[in-house]
Amino acid sequence: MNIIFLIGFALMITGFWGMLTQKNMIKIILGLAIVETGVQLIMVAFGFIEGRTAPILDSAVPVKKAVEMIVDPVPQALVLTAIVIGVAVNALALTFIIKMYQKKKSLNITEYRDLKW
Amino acid sequence: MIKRLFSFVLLTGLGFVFYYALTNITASRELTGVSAEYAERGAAELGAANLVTAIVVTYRGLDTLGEVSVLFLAATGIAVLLRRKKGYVQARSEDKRGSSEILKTGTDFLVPIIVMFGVYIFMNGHLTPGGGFQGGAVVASAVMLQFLSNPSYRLNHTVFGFIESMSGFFYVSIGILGIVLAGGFLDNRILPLGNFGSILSAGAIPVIYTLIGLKVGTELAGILDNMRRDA
Amino acid sequence: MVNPIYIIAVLLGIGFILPLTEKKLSKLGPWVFYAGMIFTALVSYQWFRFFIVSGGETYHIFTAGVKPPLSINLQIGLFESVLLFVTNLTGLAGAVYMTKQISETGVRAMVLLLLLLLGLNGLILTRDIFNLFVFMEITAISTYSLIGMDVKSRSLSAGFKYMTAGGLASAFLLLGIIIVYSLTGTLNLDGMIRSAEGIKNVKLLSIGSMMILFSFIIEAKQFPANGWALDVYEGTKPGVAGLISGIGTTAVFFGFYKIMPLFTNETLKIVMWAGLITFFFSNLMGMKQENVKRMLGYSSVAQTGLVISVSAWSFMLGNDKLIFPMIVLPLLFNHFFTKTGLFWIAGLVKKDTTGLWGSITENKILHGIFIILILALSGFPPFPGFWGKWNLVLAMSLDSNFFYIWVLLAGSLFEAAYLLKWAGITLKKDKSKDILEYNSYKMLALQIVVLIFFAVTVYYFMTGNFDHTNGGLHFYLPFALGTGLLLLPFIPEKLKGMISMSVIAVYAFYFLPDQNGIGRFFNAMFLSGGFFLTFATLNRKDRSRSFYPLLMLMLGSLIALVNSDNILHFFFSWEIMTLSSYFLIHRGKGSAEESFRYVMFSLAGAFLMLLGFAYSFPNLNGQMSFGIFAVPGQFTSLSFILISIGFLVKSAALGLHLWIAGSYAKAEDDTSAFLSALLSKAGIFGFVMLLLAMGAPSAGKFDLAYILSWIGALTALIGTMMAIYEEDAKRLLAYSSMGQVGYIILGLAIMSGLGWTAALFQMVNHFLIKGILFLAIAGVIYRTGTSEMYKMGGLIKKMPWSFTAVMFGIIAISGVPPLTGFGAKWLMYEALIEKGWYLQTGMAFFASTVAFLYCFRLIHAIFLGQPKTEFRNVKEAPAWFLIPQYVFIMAIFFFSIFPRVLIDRISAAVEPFFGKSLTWDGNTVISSLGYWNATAVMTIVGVVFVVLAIGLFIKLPKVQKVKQFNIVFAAERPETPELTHFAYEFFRPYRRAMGWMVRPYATRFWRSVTESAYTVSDALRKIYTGNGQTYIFHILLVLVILFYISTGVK
Repeated sequence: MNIIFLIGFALMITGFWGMLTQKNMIKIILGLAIVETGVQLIMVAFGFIEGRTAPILDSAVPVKKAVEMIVDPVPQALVLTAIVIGVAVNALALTFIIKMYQKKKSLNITEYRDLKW
Repeated sequence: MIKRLFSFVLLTGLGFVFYYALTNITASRELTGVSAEYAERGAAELGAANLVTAIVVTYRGLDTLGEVSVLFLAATGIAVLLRRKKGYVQARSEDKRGSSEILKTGTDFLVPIIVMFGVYIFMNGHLTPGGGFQGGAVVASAVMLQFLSNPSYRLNHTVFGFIESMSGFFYVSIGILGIVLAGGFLDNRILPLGNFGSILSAGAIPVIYTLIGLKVGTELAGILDNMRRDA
Repeated sequence: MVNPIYIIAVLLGIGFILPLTEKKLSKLGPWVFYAGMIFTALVSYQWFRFFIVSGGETYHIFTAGVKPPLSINLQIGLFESVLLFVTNLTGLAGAVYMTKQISETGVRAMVLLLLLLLGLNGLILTRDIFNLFVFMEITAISTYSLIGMDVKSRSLSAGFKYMTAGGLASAFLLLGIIIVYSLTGTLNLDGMIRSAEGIKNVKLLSIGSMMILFSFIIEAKQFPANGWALDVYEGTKPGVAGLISGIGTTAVFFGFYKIMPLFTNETLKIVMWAGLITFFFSNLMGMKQENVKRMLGYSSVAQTGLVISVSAWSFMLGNDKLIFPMIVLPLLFNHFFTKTGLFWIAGLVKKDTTGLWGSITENKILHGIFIILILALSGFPPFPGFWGKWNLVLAMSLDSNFFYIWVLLAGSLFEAAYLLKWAGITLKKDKSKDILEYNSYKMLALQIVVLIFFAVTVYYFMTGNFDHTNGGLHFYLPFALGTGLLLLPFIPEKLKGMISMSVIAVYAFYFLPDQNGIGRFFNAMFLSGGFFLTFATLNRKDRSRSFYPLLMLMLGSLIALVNSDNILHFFFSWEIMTLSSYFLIHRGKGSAEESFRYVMFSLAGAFLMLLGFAYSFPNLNGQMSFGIFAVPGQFTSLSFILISIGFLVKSAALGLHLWIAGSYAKAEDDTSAFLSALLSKAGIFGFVMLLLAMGAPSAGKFDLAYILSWIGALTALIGTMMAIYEEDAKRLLAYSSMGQVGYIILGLAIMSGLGWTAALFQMVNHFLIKGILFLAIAGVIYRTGTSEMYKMGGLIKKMPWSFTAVMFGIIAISGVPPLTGFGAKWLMYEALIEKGWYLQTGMAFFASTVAFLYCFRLIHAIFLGQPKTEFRNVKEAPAWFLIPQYVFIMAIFFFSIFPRVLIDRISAAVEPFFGKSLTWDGNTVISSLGYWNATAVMTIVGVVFVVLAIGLFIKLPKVQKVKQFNIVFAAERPETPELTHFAYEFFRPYRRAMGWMVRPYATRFWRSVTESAYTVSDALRKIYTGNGQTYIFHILLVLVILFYISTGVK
C-alpha cells in the first residue's frame, strides 16, 4: 500500500530529474509524462482500500453490500480525466517540438533563448 | 555538472517534501463522503453497473465533456500548428517502397478485429471496465496500424471529420436534452434505465459513451494523420 | 433568464460543428462563430443586469439532475456575472481584433477562440475543484495553441516553456486535489471549505492545500516562477497576448480567489506577501525594459500579484465581501482593460522598442487612447486603479500594515516610471517616416474595450467615495472643462482661450463672494492669476488642441485642491494637478527629460504624502476628514514629516529642487508663468492646511517647525545663490522662484500670527511678481528667440514697456522700498525676531541682498548695454503679454500704497488660529517691534523719484552719446560669442568664493539613487535566462521554499 505511494513519488522525482538535466526537449516532455504518471499512480492509490474489489456491481458485488466491498470509485474517475488531459498536452507539446525542430534543426532547449530578461 | 549538482540538491529538498507527505498519509479503511453515497445510490439512481462510468458520464459529466473538449482542442491545436501553407506539395507516397504482402494481409485481417474490440469496449462501458476513451484509443490504434504497415494509406478526411464533428455535437445535444427532459445538463435519465446489468440499460450512458468513443477514435486518428504527414 | 450552462453548451456545440464548414460552407463559418460569441455576451449581459439592476440573488446550477456534492454545480452571483460579462465582451472584441489572423488560419482558429472562452467561463462559474482543473486545462491548451498559431520560432519556444510550466502546475494541482479529497471526501468547493475545519490530519491537509496553492502561484505567474510568462508576453502576437493578460489572467485569478477560503491564515499570509513581492520586483525589473510587450508583461505580472495579494489579505481579515468590490475589482478592471488595450495598441503600432513609438502620433485617436490607458495603468485618478489603490492604502493603514503600503507605493512608483517614460517618448514627435498601418478591425476591437473601460471609470468616479453634496462641483469641473474644450471641434484655439477666460470669470463671480478664510486668498489668487495669465496665452499661434484643455484641467484642479474638505478630495486634486502640469511642461521643446524628472519627483512626493495620510488615518476611526491630523496618534510626527516631504517637493525645497530649473525653463514660455506664479503655491497651500490641522508636532527632541524653518531659510539662500550664476533668464527666474518660496515656508514655520501674515503677504507678492517677470521674459523670448541673456543686450530702446515692467518687478522682488516686497520682508524679519530665530533672520537678510544681484542682471544683461546686430529690428513684446503685466503692476502699486487692504484680510483669516498680531493706526501698521506706514514711504519715495527724474531730464541734453558698436575689445578678438557680451558670467568672481554652496550635491545624490535602482533592476532580471530549463528549476525551487516556509511557520 505504502509502496505504491513511494513508487509514485519516486516516479515524480525521476521525471523532475529528467526535466532538469536533459537538454533534449523530447526528453523533457518525457520527463513531464513520467511526473504525470507518478501523480496518476498516487491518485489511484488514494482510492485503494485493502481487501476490496473494483467498483463494478455484478453478481460478486451485490448492490446492497457495495459500500463495504468496493474501493473508492472517485479517484478512478478522476484519473481517467487526468490521463486524457495529460495525453492531450503531451501530444500538443510534441507538435510544438516538431515545428521548432523544423525551424532551427535543433532539439536542444538551450538553443531557444532569444526571449529573455 | 553544476547544473546537475543544483538539480540534485533541489530534488533532495523536494524529496523531503514528498517524504513528509508520505509519512502523513494514512490508509483509508472505508468509503467516506461522496464515494459512499455513490456506492449506495449510484446503481439505483443511474442504473449503471460500473460505478466509475456512472461517475464519469453522469455525476461528473461536465468534467468528461471538458475532457472531450481538451482532446478536441489538442487535435485542433495540432492541426493548426501542422497546417500546410498554400502551394505546399506533399512528397508523393508512391515514391516510398510499398509494404510486403504478409504485412498487408496481416493488417487487413487485424484492423476489423481491433475496431470491433474498440467498439465493444465503449459500448459496454457501463457494465465492464472500459469506456469511450479506452475504446476510442483502441479504434485509433487500428488506424495507427494502417499507417505503420501501409505508407500510402490515406485517411478519408471527409468521413472522419464528419463523424468527429457530429459525435461531439450530439454529445452536447444529449446534454441539453438532459435539461429539457430530465433533471439537468447531461442527466442520463432521458432514456429508460432498463434492466440493470444488460447492454441496453443505464439510460443515455451507452449512447454517450459510444459518441465519446467515436469522437476520441476519430480525433486520435486525426492527430496521428497530422503528425505523420508532417514529420 | 438563460441558464449559464447554455454558454458552455453553445460554445462547445459550435466548436464541435465548426470544422465541418471548413471546405464547402466556408462562408457560413464566421457567421456561426460570431453568433456564438454574441450569444455568450448577451447571456452574460442578461445576468449582469439581473444582479446589478435588480439585485438578484446568487443562482446555483446543478448538472446531471443530482444535487451537489454528488454532481458538479455552477454558481452565478454578482461578481461572477460582472466578470463573465467583461470576459465575454472582451473575448468578442478579441475575435474582432484577430479577424485577419483568423481568416488566414482558417476555421480552426475560431474553434480555439471559442474554447478559450469556454474555459474562461467555466473557470468563473464552477464550484467544483476538479472541474476547475478541467477548465483550467481547457484554457491552458487553447492558449498554448493560440500562442503557437503563427508558427514563428519565438512564439513556439515561448509556448513550449509555457507548456512545461503549465504541465508542472497541473501535476501539482492534481496531487493537491486528491490529497484534499482523501481527507474531506468531497470535490465540491463549498463542501471542502466547510469540512476542512474539522480535519484531524492537519499536516496532510496543509500539504494538499499547499500543492493547490503552489499550482495557482505558477498559473498566476508569480515571481520568480514566472520567467516563461514574460517570454510568452514578449513572443506572442499582441492580439493573443492581450487576451492572455486580460481575460486569461482574470479568470485564473478568480479560480484562485474561489479556493482561497480553503487555506489557513498562515498560508494566506504567505500568498499575501508573495503577491506583494511579485508586484514590487516585477515593476522594478520592468524599469529596465525597452521591449514594449515584455514591459507590459512585467506590468501584467505585477498587477496580478497585487490583486492576489489583496484577495489573500481580505480572507485573512474575513472581510472579503467588502474588499472585493472596493479594492480587488477596481484594481482588476484597471489591469484588465488597460493591459488588453495596450497590447492591442502594440499590435497596431508594430514596433518592439519603446524608442520607435513616435509613429503612433500619426493617428490622433489611437494616441489619445494610448495616453489614457498609460495614465490609468499608472494609477492616476480618475481611473479605477486610483480608487483601488486609495482604498487599499487606507484599509491597510487600519490594519496597521504600514510596511505593506511602503512596498506597494514603491512598486507603483517603479511602474509609473517606465510607463510614463514610454508615454513621454510618444509625445515627442520625431518625424519618423513610419506609416501606421490602419486596420479597422483592430481599431474597432480596441474601441470596444476602451468604451467599456470608460464606462467602468465613470462608474467608479461616480461611486468612488465622493461626497457629492459637498463641493462636488469642484471635482467635476476640471474634467468637464478639460474634456469639453478638447472635444469642441472646429473652434479656433484663440476662441477656446477666451472661453476658458470667461469660464474663470463667471466662476469667480459666483463663487468668490461666498468664501472666507485662508482658502479665499488662494482661490482669488488662482482665479485672477488664471484669468490674466490665460490672456497672455492668446498670443500663441500654436494649433495644438491639447493646450487649453490641459490648462483648464490644471487650474480647475488647483481650485478643487483649495476647496477640498477631506484627504481624498485633496489627494485626488493633487494628482490631477501633477498630471496636467506634467503634460503642460512636456509640451515645451526638448523638455522630455526635465518633465519626466518633474513628474517622478512629484509622484514620489505624492506617494509619501499618501503614506503620511495613511499613518494618521486610523486616528479618527477611519474618517477621511482633515480632523484625523488634529487627533494625536501613535505616528503623528512621522505622518507630518511624510506629508511635508510631498509639499516640499512641490515647493522645490532644497534637496528636492532638482526638477525646478529644468522644467520651468523648458516649459513653453507662457506656461512657465503659470508654473511659477500659481502652481508653486500648491505646496504652500498644503503646508497651510497641514500646519492648521496638525500644529507643528515634535519628533523626539526636535521641533519639526524649527527644522522646517531651516529648510525654508536654506532654500531661500541657496535658491538665490544658484540664480545669480544662471545665464538663462528662465532658469534664473526658476531659481529665484525657489528662493522666494523658501521665504514663504520660513514664514509659515514661525507659527505665529505675524509670521503667517508675512508668509501670505509674501505669497501674494510673489504671485504678482513672477507673473510679471515670466511674462516679460516670455515677450522678450518671443521676439528674440532665445532665453540666453548673453545673446541679448540693449533691448531697452526696442522694448521700453517690457523694460519698465521688469524694472518694477525686480524692485518689488528684491524687497527694497517702496513696493510690496519691502512690506513682505519687513513683516518677515519682524516675525523672525519676535520668535527669536536670529540665525534664520540673518540668513534671510543675506539672501535678500544676494537676490539683488540676480535681479540686477535681468535689467543689466537684457535691456542695458549695446544692442546686438541681429536684434536691431526687434519690436516691442505683443500686447497680449504686456497687458497682464501692467495689470499685475497696478496691483502691486495698489498694495504698495494701501497694504492695509490686503494685510487686514490676511490678519483676519489668520487671527482665529494665532490671535491678533498687528494693530493699525490709520495707514501705519504697528507690530510688537516697530511700525511701517506704507503710504508715507510711497509718498517719500515718489517725491524723491520725481525730483531725480526732473534733474535727469534737465541734464539729459548734456549727456554724451556713445555710438553703436563703439566697443573696443582691447585688441583681443573674442573667441566665442558669449565673450562679446559684457555680462556673461558676470558673477564669476563670487563663484570662486562661494561656489561651494551651489555645488550639485543634491543632483549627485539623486543621480546615484536612480542609477542604483536601474542597476538592481538590470541585475535582477538576469534570472530570466530564456532557458526553459532554468524556469523549471525556478518553479520547483519556489515549491520547496514555499513548503519550508509554510511548515517552518508552524
